[in-house]
Amino acid sequence: MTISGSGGLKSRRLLLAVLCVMSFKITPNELSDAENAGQNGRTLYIQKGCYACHGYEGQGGIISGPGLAPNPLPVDVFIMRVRRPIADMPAYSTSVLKDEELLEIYQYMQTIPLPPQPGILSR
Amino acid sequence: MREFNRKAASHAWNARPISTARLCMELWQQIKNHDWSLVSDTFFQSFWPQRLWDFNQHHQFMGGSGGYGVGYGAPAAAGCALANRDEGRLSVNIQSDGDLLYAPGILWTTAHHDIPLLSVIHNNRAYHQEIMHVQRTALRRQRGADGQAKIGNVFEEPKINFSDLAKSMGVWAAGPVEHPDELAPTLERAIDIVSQGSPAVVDVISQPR
Repeated sequence: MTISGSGGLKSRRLLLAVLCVMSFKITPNELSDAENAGQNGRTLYIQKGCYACHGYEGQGGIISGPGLAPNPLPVDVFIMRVRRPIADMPAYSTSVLKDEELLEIYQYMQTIPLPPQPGILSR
Repeated sequence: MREFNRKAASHAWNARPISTARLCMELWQQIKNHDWSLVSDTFFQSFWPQRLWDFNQHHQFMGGSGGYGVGYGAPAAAGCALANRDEGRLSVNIQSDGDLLYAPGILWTTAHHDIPLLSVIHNNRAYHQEIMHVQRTALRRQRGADGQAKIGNVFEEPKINFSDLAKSMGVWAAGPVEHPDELAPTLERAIDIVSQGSPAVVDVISQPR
């Protein structure tokens, strides 16, 4: 995985962090930590402007940007798409969005559940 | 296709700010048994009306400016509502907040001439049109997207109360509606007002698109 603007050591650190996130399983004792990470991620998600195209809940829109949640992309693909987007999205380098911040945003995406189909939409 | 759109609409269904899908679906529930006419474009609401509503009459959609008319929406909606008035038709305008800022005096005109028009304000507290362009430029120059991208795009400080704005011009108004469960009863009240021949505005705090 190539991360723009980072050296070998930085990449290894990020890979370690990615592996931590990939093995992220919530136990009751860790619930508050996970909630905090999700809340921090939401704050960053708004602060960095992600909400403007992808919606506050990552739902996306057909004229603005793809849905990010629920069921976000695998974390390594998610990071690659942010650092080196493939469509209109501007690229976020590590100097404007740190790796740790990006992972917190990813954790927020993971906390967004798929809602049940509302009755009003079934009619 | 409709099933795909319904599933997409369920995402962020209970979100605050209110999703544009929820706004449009709650509105549809209130108007679908009327002789209705959508007198606004739907681009900035991600085309949710076309994706979720049943259109089967030519007068049910008036379309957009045909170009990229800035501030076109509100006056065009009033003109359509004037034409629909003699037909006894319910005119529904999903009104972008930024668009309304170009010619807000149209609200006074609808009150002055008793033009029955329901305007539901898609209030995302922004113009929003150029935001990704500004983000791209800021990021290319490594300035970051925090704050700077909002300049000229967002009007959050102070927040505009479109309900108060409409009331000041003699239009019945409700809101700002911030919780999605408040939408249905508020829209129902507003449609009662419009059915009696007057304009009404419902200000809805909404997601960007």
